[in-house]
This record gives sequence, C-alpha cells and structure tokens, in this order.
Amino acid sequence: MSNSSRLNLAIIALSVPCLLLFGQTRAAAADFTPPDKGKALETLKSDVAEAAKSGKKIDVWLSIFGSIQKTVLVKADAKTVSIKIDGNNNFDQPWEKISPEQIAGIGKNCVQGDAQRALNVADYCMATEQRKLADAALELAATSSQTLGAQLADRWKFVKAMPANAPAAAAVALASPSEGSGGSAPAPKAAAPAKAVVAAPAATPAPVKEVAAVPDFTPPDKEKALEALKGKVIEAAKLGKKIDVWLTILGQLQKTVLVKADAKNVSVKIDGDNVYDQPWDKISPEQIAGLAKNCILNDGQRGLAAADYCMALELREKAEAALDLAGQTTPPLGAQLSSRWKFVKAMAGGSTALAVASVGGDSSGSEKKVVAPNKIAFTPSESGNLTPIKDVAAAIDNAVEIDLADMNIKPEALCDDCAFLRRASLDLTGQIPSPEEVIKFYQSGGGSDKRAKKIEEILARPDYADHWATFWDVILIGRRTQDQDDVKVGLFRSWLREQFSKNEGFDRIVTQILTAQGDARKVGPANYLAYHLDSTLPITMAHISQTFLGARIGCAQCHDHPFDKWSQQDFWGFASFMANTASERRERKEKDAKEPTGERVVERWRELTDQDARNGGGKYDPPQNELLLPPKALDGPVFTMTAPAKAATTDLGKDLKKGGGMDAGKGMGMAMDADKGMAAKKGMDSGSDKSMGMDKGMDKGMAGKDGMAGGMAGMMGSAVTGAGGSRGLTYRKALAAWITDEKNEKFSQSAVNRIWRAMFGYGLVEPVDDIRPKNPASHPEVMKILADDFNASGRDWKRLCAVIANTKAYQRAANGSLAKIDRAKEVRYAARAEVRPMTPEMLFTAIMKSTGGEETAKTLLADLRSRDDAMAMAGMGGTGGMAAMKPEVGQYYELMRRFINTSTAEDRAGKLQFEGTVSQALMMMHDPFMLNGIKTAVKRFKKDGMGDMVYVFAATLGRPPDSAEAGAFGSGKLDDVMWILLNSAEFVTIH
Amino acid sequence: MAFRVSCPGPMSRRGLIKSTIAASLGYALGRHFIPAAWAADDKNKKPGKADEAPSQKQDYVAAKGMAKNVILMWMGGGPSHLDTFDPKPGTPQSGGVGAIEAADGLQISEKFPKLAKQGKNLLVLRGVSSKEGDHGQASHLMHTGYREQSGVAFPSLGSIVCAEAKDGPQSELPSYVALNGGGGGPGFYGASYGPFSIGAGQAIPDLKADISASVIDQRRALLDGLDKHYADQNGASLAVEHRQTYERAIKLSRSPLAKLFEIKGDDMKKMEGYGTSGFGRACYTAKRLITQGGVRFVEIDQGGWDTHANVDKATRGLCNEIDTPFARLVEELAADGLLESTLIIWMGEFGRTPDINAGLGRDHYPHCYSIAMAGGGVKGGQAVGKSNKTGHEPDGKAIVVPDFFYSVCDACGINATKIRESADGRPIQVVDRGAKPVPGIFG
Repeated sequence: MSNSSRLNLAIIALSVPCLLLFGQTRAAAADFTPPDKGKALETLKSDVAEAAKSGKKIDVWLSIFGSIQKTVLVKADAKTVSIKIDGNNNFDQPWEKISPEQIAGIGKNCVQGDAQRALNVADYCMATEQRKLADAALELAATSSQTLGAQLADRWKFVKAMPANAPAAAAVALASPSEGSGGSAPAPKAAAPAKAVVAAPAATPAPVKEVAAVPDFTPPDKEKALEALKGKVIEAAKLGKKIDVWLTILGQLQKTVLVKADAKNVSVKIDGDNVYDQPWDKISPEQIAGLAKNCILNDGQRGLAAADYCMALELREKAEAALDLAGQTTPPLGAQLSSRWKFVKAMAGGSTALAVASVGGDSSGSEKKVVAPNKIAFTPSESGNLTPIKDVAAAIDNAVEIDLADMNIKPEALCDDCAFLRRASLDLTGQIPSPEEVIKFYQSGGGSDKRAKKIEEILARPDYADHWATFWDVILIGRRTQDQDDVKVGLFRSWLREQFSKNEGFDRIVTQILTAQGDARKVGPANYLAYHLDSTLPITMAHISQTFLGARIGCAQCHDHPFDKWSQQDFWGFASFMANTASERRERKEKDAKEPTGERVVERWRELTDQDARNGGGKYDPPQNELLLPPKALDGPVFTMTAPAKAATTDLGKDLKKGGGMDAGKGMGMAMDADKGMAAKKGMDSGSDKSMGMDKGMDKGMAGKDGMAGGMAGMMGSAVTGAGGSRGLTYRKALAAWITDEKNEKFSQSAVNRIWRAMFGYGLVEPVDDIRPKNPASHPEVMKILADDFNASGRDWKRLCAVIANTKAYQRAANGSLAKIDRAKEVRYAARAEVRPMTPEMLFTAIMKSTGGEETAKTLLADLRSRDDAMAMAGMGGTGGMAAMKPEVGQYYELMRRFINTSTAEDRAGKLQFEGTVSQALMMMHDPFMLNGIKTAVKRFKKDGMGDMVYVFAATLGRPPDSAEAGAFGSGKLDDVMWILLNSAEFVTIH
Repeated sequence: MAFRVSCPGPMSRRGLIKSTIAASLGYALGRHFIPAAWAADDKNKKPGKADEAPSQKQDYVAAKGMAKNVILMWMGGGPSHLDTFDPKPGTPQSGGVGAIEAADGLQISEKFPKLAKQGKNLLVLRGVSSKEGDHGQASHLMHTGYREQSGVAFPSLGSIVCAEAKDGPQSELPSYVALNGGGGGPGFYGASYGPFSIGAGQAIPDLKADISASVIDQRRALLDGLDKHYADQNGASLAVEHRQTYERAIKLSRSPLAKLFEIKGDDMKKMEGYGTSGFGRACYTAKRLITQGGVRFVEIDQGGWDTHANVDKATRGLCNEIDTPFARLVEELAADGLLESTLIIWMGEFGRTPDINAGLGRDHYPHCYSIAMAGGGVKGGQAVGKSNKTGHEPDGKAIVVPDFFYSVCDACGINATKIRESADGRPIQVVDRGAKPVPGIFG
C-alpha cells in the first residue's frame, strides 16, 4: 500500500467519529449520502400512495394480529396503509405500526417498473440500515432502467460500504446504546463529548505521522482483553438492568435479553422464558463486542474494557463506538481515553489486516495473519485472442488466495503427483489411471509444466467425451438406462458424446437441444424436450432455467418467488417461448389377428413439433392462472411476432384478452413498454445475431418508429419470413439465442459453476442451480474470470476444464486432519481439496479397469458406447440393433445399473454426490463379478511378471504403497490384497 | 413390540456426537425442550406441553409418543387429493368420482372401498399446503420438513426417526428400509442412517460370498487398518462413513433375520390378504420387518401419481392396487394390538389441480392437498383440517408441512426442537423452527 493511499484512509478515519453521531458510520466511504429516515419515509409514502392509485394489484406483506399476512394494497396516505386481507376486509394499518423491513417490502412491490421509486426504496433502506433490502431495491432499479448512471453507481457504492452481516443488529446497537438512556434524549447529550473527541486528533498537526508512530497505548492481547471483558459483562449482568444481546442462535440472529454471565457462558432469554446458555467461544467477536457495548451502561471502565477488546480483535468501528460511549461517562477518563482514541485512529481504514500492519503487528502474536498476495496483472481473453491457459489459471489462483487471506485461511500445499493424476483422470475423463501410467508419472522427474502437459494429454483421450456426455445426460434427463417411448437415452447419449468429442461450443450444444425438431428416435437433441414436455410446460421451463441459467423460477409458476425477484408474470412470460411446442405421442400399428381390434401397437415414439398459432393445436393451455403473456426473457426483452406486423399484434391482443381478462390495450402496454424495449435492444444485438444466424432485420427493426413493437417485430419477422419456420420454432430459436447470448451472464456463470462443482465438490455458488445476487459466489472474482474466458473462447468446454485443472486451487492436497468446522470452510473456499465420492459410473469403470486391465476396460467402454448406438438405431424395446450385441455387454450394463441403484443420491439438480450403501458394500465384498475379477487380475499380474505389491497398489489406488503398507501387506496373497484395496475408502473416493 | 433383538455394541461415533452436542453447546434443556415421552419422570404428568405457545388451543391433546415404528407410504408423483382422501362428489372438480363414508363424518374416495372399512382407524389431514410445485423440491420438503437450502443436507423422515430414536437400533437389520424405491437421504446424520433400499419380497443380493467368512474376517482386519489410516489422514466424514457402512453390511450378511426380506414358499399363503401387487408385497414385508426384524422405519414407494392426463383412469388403477394391502395392513396391526405402536403415513409430494385439464388430467397443486395417517396413537375416524368446496383452498387455517413433521415426531416420542449440527457446524432443529404440532391429531 502506497503512502498516499494510506494518508487518504487516515483522513477518512478522522472524519468518522462525527458521522457516527448520525448513525452513518460508513457514509464516508461513498460519495452518496442517503436522506435521513424521516425524509426517506415521506418520499416512500408518497410513492406508495401514487402506486396504490394505479389500480394494479400490489401485494403487501404485513404483520397483522401478530402473524405475517399477504394482503393487497388498496390505498395509502400519509398516515395509514389500507389493505385488503383475504375476502373483502379492508384494514387500515398506521405507518408507524409497520416495521422498517415491511415498509421496505411495500415500497419494493410498489416500484412497478419505476426506477425512481426503486431508488427511493433503496434510500429508505439505506437510511434505516437495511443493507440486504437496499441491495434488492437497487437491483430492481437497475432492471427497471439502464440509464440511471451515477444515481445508481453512487448508491451501490454506499450500500457496499454498509455493514454486511449485521442488518438490524448493528443499526440497533448503534442507535440505542443502552436501555437506560431512554427515548430521544441521547442525541443532544451525545453531541458534546463526541465533538470533543473529534477535536483531539484534529488538533494534532500531522496525522500522517501519527499513523506511522507507535501510539502510546497498546491494547492487551486477545485472551486478556476477553477475560477483562467477561468480568465486566458478569458485573453488568448483576445490575439487574435489561440488557439486550444480539446472538446468532440456531443459525439465526436473534435479539435476546441477558440473564447472567460467567466465565464459560452467557445466559440469555429468548422470547418467552427459555433460558439459553451460549458458550463464549461460540459467540463471534462482533457479537461479543456488541454485548460488551450494551453492558457499558454509563460506566467508563466497562466502556474501556469493551474498547480494548475491540482493539485487540481489530474491530475498529466497534472500538470507536465503545470509546464514544466511554467518553460520555463521568468522571472524565482523561488520558485513558485519549490514548485509546489515538490508537483507534491509527487503525486506518476498515481492514483489520491493514490496521495490524500500520500499527506494527499484532502484539499477541498467537495467530499469524495470512498475508494476501498482490493482485497480479492479467489480460483477459478476447474473442480470437485467447490468454494462455496458465495465465488464466494464475489469475484464478491469485483471486482465490486474496479471498482466502481475507478470511485468514492459509491454503493447503499442492497434492503429490499420484493424487493429482488420479484426481485429474477421474474428474476429466471419469477414469482412474492405469498402473503403468501411475508408475511412469511417479518416477518421471519433469519440469514445472509436468502437470500441465499431463492435463493436456488426459483431455485428448476419447474418454473425455464419454465422461462429459454422461455428466450432462444425468443432468438433462437423469440416470436412465433403458429406452422408453418418451426418450431414447442411447441416441441422446451418443449425440452428446459426439458434441463433446468434436468439442462443439457449449452454446451450440444448448441451442441444438432447445431448437431440435422432429422424431426423437432420429434426432438426438430432440430427446431433451421430447422427454420434458411430456410433463407440463411449466416443469420444462423451470428445468431449462435451472439447468442453463442457474435460476430457480419454478415457484413463480403459482406465486411470486419468495426469495428471488421472479414474479408470476416473469414465469409465464418465459414459459410462452415454449407454449407452441409439443412432445407428441406417435404410434405405429400392425395387423394382429390375436388382438380384438385386429391391430397392435408395434412402436411408440415422440415427435417434437411446433405449432403456428397459440391454441391452434398447441398442447398447452395454461391451467391455473391463464396469464397468456407474450414470450418474455427473464430480465430480458419481450418478443412479439409481427409477420406481418399488424396481424400478429391483433393476435396477441386477442390472446391476452381471452386469457387473462386484461384488456388488449393494457396488455400491450405492458409488453411494449418503451423503456424496456430499449433495454432489450442493448441486450439483444450482436450476440444473438452471431449465435443464431438471425439476420440484420433485427437491428433494422430496432430503429423502427414504433419503438419496441417495431423493433422486436423486425427481428422476429425477419426470422419468420426468412426461414419460413413456424411460430413455435421461431420462439424457441429466440429463446436459445437469448439464453446463450454472451451478454446473458447467467448462462456462462451457470456452466462455469457446474464444472467447478464437478471438480471441487462444491460449486462457486451453492446450490448449483440457484445463482442470484443474494446467493453470491464463494469467489466472485473467479466466477467472473472463468465466465469471461468461457465467453471469449466460444464456450469451449474443454478449455474450461483445462483452465480449472491447471489451477493450484484444484491441485491442493486433501489430507491433513482438522476440526470439522474448519475443514468444511476450507474445502468450501477451495483452500483444500475435498474428499468426494466417485459417481457410480466412475466406480464401475474403475473396478473394471483395475481388475481387467487397460485393454479390457477400453473394449468394455467401446462396447457400452456401441450399445448406446445400437439402442439408438433399434426401435422400441431394444430389439434389432441390440440383438447383434455381444451378450456380455448387456451383462456389464446390468452391472453398472446395479452400481447406480446401490448408490444413494444425496440430492438432485444434477449434483453428482453419491454415497455407497450397505447393498453396495455387499456387492463389493461378495459379488462373483468382483471375486472373479480379482482372480483374473491376479493371474494377469503374475503372467505379466508384475505381481508385486507396487503394481497392485498402482492399479487400484493409483499410488505405490508406503513403507508401513508394504510391511503390513507384504506377506499377503495378491488376491487378498487386491480385495482389500478395492474395498477401501480410498478406492471409492476422489481425493 | 413383539420381537426385539438387543444389540448393545460399542457406542457409535454418531451416538457420541449426539450425546455430546447438547453438552458442548451448553443448551439449557428446559422443560420446553423435552416432550413427554422423552423424560421418563415427565410421563405421568400432563404431557409436557405446559409451556406451549399461547396460540395453541386449550384442548390440544399431545401425542403419547407411543409409535415405535413408522411405515411411510410414499405416493411419488403427487397423488390427487380429490381422487383419494378429499373427494368432492357432485362438483365439477370431482370428475364424476363419488365418495364413501369411512367413518361418521369422514368421507373418502369411492376408489378405496376396502380402506373405507378401516375408517375408524384412519385420520385424514386436509388442507395441507406448501409452496413447492416442483417434484424434486416438493419431495425434499415432504421428506425432510424443510425447504431445500444452500449448503445443508437435511435428513429425511426415516433417518430422523431412526437417528433420534432413544433406544437405538433394534437388530442388525438396517433401521431404515426403503421398499420398491430409493427412500430419502440421511442428510447430516450420515450414511449410517440412510435407507436400505430393496424390491419388496426380494432376497438381499450378495448376502453370501464364495469365500469363507474367516477369510473375509482376515481381510477385513487389514482393511480396517487401511481405512482408519485414510480417515485419520483426511478427516473427512466420508471415509468414516464408508467404514461404518461396511461394518453394517457384514453384520447384515451374518444375521438370521436377513431372510425376513424374502417372500417365498409358505409366505405366499400368509400374504394372501395383501393381494399380489408390488405394493401388497411391500406392505406384507414391511409388517414382517417391523414386527419380527427390529426394523424401525419402512418407506414404501408407489410411483405413478403424476397424472397429468387421464387422472380418473390412472388413479382408479393406483387406488385399486393400494386399497387392499393398505386396508389389510391396518386391520392386521390392529388385530395384533400393534397399531398403537405403528404409525402409518400415506402421502406424496403435493396434490393435484382440482380443475381437470384438457387432457382429462390434473397438474401439480401444492396449495391444498391431503395426507392420510393411521395408528401411532392418532385419533382415527376423522379429518383434521378442511379444504373448501372445490378442493382449491384450505378452508380455515392451512396445515403446513413443518407442523405435520412436528406431530409425527410427537407421535414417535422424538423431541422436535432438539438441535443437531449440519456438516459445516450449523445448528439445525430436528423440525424447522417455529413449527407447532397440528391440533386434533391425537386423542
């Protein structure tokens, strides 16, 4: 850190105490200052009143009679909010009875696409220190208008600087220091001492030097500070005053009341009379600081003890707040106070690490801080000019390590070569390495690029395509092993394999899946929709958005999404893209004398078809809410079909009228909202053009005088007239174009997240299909680097694999024993490798390979592939091509099915987490297939003259035995040893 | 219980964790945290609901915590409530399906003629409501009582009942058996409490090997050392669980009780009253496993309820398949005096739309649906909760899923408010916070 920036921070630090007075400690960090609470509320009230007049249905969540209820807004004025509860009961709720959270919620629902209102809500949230809600409001503002510029940016900056995870607690703690001070009195009282405090450091001529100089006060070390503080809390608890304590209990932040405290526990009362003992060591430093602060209760020494603790724990702001309170007590504390203020000033900026550095190190010395590396320079890939893989990997490692230092986590060292080889082979190709390969890799020296070269070699193997085809097959359709009339699994898998084999761009793969048409027995990619559209349209659309966009819109089908921003309108608008597409049953009959009708069905299949008109034979008729909306991308543009423009417009109007009881004009108004239209233009141009081959008609259309209607009509119209496709197909193409558009961040993020999860055991975002601002990535920068690179590379899946495999983050060791809780955190943040279960497919192949050898495994896999192909060629029932299969292939297939069936799927959504079951353990120990496999293997080893222990270990665990193992197993028979190794935890895991 | 094999054994790792968590976190286990059946000396007092939230009705009767065993009939796909336990005869929504009087004031679908005769033991929860309309998410909710959440693997009901049972495993058979389906995952309880899944009536595959037990024992001694080393080195729960799974597999393979899974010879005659369907075999096997095998929780999977088309025809077939065995199971357990200690739950992930769609089917409908229960101390012959005339809405207060889970825990004498720890150390209550037992179930 340069001197000048340190100076800036010091100056900012100086201005903090006076701002503290207004409960806006962080305001200094941004150029924006929110209005005060009262003003913000007044603005929000008038927005709500105005929105209520619009006549739109606005949902309002209110606590009425002690329970939270969903109500509908009727009207609002300066005094009350009138709402309708179920039925026709109107209810007037005075504003002051509504909690700030609920007010924010009302404001948010009243935004109705008006960006200014969204900003007003955000301001209110900032003024009331509701960071998360402010976040949400700003997000809404951003989606409502893209022209907010600095208005938005400044607010974002401010929100970012707000305390992150202590929403109400921090605000409450700051606003009402103690129960005893009572009412609104403290503000004027507090003014004088706080000013005096500010004056002290300001009088010092050169604050810069102050920072560098060693202050004449040094806080005690953490343990001592805590002990002292405990004593003060115990003392305060005995005063018999009501002291509020904010504690995280059961994972939730709760306001509790202090009952007593001792050296071990803090006893608190939660609502009602339940007394709850929380051990000190389970309470976060922030919460301890908060507790200590509330215990000050106008006692100077308690104030100093709280401040000392905060200084020792580097909680600068809390230390300031404590000193501020200590300064208000009598008798004056004099030098005890001013020396501490001086020290606190020196804790420059908000960063704890920084403070330590500037003050000259943590005096306790008990715990070394992890030092963050400097951010390295990195040139991201551009289309046509890709950054070398190793540089991208290095940038990722840099970002990971900076994040880890921030969390004070020291990354684990890299794993050894054998562990690396086994892990990378399994993750990239689904296979364990052969013993020959293990031994060669183990013995070879090799330069710094030894692993990079190996990754390249592994990725070039045909198994790569097998593995990722299986991976996506499981996500897209599930672990099906038999053809059924709704899906031809063999064909679908072969098709996927072909795509990965030629390294087709992932966007192209998805586009083909979403736009395929025709007979599912012949058109591989058609099977995804043929299968899903057999269920309902909503389910299909929920699957599409979860799978390709990481957006869980499913619950918006029936009601507005409770945690995310999706409304029912969003859902049904999105669903309309597919409303003219159907998975139709077809069957072929043959004459049969035995049947009563004289005919029997000999073949059933599905065809993916598109209709030209809504309700013109389309399968789907919205069953529940009949929101027949025009297709609208999530957060994206409305698509209209105007070819010729006039006719379609009329159509749409009719549909809307028929469907929802909305009048046509209104419906159109919503769909064609000009602002959104322009936003849509921005989002839609180049990307879809390129990937979908839509012609320039779209851009032309954009310039149309009719605003959005003309614009989208131009685009859709050209597609229709140009390609001569049906309405259904046109919509699907538009959908695929929008999903895979480079500007649609979620597409690339979702892909990156899935591959990260497959290779680390945890997604950057978890759950893997739930990417949204409030569920951020563990390493946001990594997500960005990978997604950008993925985009620039033309969605090159193999390159993405290579980049990740080349990171140090991926190559870290798994071993090292640790407390459970630390371990979980470390693996979640990629500081250490997780021990993961193999998928059943991996396990089966691994057994085949270690018992049968490389060649047998190769043949087997080729056979399984050809079985898929045969299934693909054969008609229903797997006859025809299947008859020509070698019988053992069918047996192997059955065997693999058993591995799948005896694994426990830990969860859904395509996560490949499996746990072997008792059934699988029985199979591994007892099944003839295992026992015979071992016998064959041992014979083979002996014949090859490689019947030594090293070879057996390499063939199973991918490493040589260590000396203890060599000793323990040395005298054993080879078949015993192999049985043991195959049944070991090490064998069935990726580590 | 008729038959119990005691299996004391060394205290398991999970057991240790269970018993130490409360202590290490220092929770004050006041009366509120201990339901009646939990604390022996509380048993004779008014069941431990003295400090129940004021919102509870005065006449709330607590469960006796008598259910030792649970049979969960899982209707995968989402059964139509209108075609099963919440018929609406005479309405357009009924699809022409009539109702039968199962007990005074309890009507169920005409598709369950035999079950109707067991009406006095049957309790129907109506107006159950959730927000999950997707199969996966709804199955998660109905299996665990929790909505899916980032970073937490919640245990399913079977795992909860087995892991929380105060008297531990009753035999070397798995405590949690899933018949004809996969069952639900063990979540943070770990693999030891996961389901043992097998087709009803089948012999356990690979129970015996072509090598002698003594050879296997010698090998296992070495394996044990290897695994232990690996587990120590990696500190990952996966390795530990792998060892425990093997331990249980060996015990199972050597248990004389393992034959209870297989239906053959004489059994065919004994199970006559259960019919020949897969569900019938499962009900018979379930009864045998819990009464003779010391199995605690059996989940029976009966899929096919995702009736987006031709719902009437499809549910007639399905109801027909389960009517006989369901009725027979209740009848036999009652006759043997085992119904009090066996809780039967019939449910799926959600209900189906009251309005029939263009394909004569019904689509997903989580807003209002039904659960049926019998035994385990529930008060039969009645419906708790109501739906409105058309089955669209709960009439009055909806029954929410966590409340239902609370009641099931109560029935089994499990402390629903006990705190457990997820894999990453997050405290999780057995049943979601804020849940209250559904009034009216017991009595």
